[in-house]
Amino acid sequence: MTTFLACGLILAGVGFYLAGTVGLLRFPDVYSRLHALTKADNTGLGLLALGVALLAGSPRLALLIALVWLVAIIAASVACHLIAGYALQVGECGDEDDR
Amino acid sequence: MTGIEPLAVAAAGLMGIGLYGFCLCRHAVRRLLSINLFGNGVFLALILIARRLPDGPDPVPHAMVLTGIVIAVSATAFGLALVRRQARTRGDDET
Amino acid sequence: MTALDSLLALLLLLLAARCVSARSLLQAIVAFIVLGLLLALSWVRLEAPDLALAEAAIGAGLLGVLLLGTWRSLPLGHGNERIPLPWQGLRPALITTGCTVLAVLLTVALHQHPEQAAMSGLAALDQLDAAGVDQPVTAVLLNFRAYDTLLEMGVLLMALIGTLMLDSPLPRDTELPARTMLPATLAQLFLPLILLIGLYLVWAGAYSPGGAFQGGAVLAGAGVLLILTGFGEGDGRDGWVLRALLAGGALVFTLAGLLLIPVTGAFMAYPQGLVTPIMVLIEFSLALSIALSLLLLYTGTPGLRRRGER
Repeated sequence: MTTFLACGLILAGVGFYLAGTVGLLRFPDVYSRLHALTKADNTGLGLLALGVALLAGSPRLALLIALVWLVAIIAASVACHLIAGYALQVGECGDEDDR
Repeated sequence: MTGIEPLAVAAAGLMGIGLYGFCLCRHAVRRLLSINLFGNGVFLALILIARRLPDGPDPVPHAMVLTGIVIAVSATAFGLALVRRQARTRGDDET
Repeated sequence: MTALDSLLALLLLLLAARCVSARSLLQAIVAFIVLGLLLALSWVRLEAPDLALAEAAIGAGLLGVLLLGTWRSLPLGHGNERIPLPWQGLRPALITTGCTVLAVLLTVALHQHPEQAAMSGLAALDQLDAAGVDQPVTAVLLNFRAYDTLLEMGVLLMALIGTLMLDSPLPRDTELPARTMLPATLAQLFLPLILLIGLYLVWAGAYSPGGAFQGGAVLAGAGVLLILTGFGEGDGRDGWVLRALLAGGALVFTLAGLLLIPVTGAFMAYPQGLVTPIMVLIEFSLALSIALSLLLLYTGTPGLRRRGER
């Protein structure tokens, strides 16, 4: 039962990741790309971590996974904030081929 | 070990692509990147060979690759410092 | 699991091709950094967690910061070039043929079974009890092939001295002052964690994956974070403490080898009772030296100071 639940969670997480990546590739500008990445990927990471923690079986491993999730989500939010702030400051510096 | 081992192909491919880049790129940073690609291929090959020991992976190639990673990064850092210095000297000449 | 290996190999090759062929230098660098991360995954797949740790911290992290910093110090558009494709001219075609032949030969060679296993590895695994540490890779690095590690420390210091002589520090972040407190807060939040992980990795090297190189790289990463968030910066002057710590790894290593010659009769041979404490001492001094060397290679300056201090 637990295995099924974990597999479901992991599959859902992978689905969110897929959606985030499609957004990153398809959206037109920095802000909407960041929107796709942070929203979808953070949800995906949470679901994935939950699924793996269920499979891990021991509370110690589950706690470690929770710590990894927390650190990753903090770092991702700050990185997203910095990228958006930079883009706002210098303006959209065109396409990547400029530099 | 039967059939094709994908990571062995990757190791050889990395070496081939690195050599190609090193021969054809003109910019120094790109050449440094290419050398690093080649080096990564060599590391991969060494670790693949290290797996052939019957009881556990062979620690000697592992230690050599660990040493190699640090050496590669220090040599690359030196190369990048050279590139920065060259760019600065050129900028001074132009102004 | 061959499917995962195949996917990894395919991605590695695609990223390498992208790294060589991208027109913009920035794209090439980004492809290289991502390749480093995938390589770390490959090390995990190849049962080499030591290398995965080192690759993630040094190969992808530190080298990435160095490459991006250098890219920013170059004039705009510098380094953008179109690499000729294999069929555009005789020279690219010849080089492509040569590289392809090399790759095919290497693949074939890597698939051939050697008749016997490597003797050095068997010997190392046999003698593990005498090494003073339980982790085979650390034992090889610090005891069985200690010369390699000592000379590697020398190479690291030489590279650092060469970099300092060039006097080309990374540009400071002047044109875009940080508008928010977030990065600084993040650094304050994460620094204790990073220091803990770095020191733990050095300590854990005795019995599990980890060691002076991985721990030192993580500690250097902590320093880079401090500099990037504006707590510290490179300084033109250096102090004797810094010099002592830089040379400490190689010095402790050499002295431990020399001073025990009367007891054991050979350079870098350690008496059985003392071997574990000596290993730990060497490992920690090496880790500190490696961390500082990597950090100074990043700043390109001989010294460090707090931001704003003169």
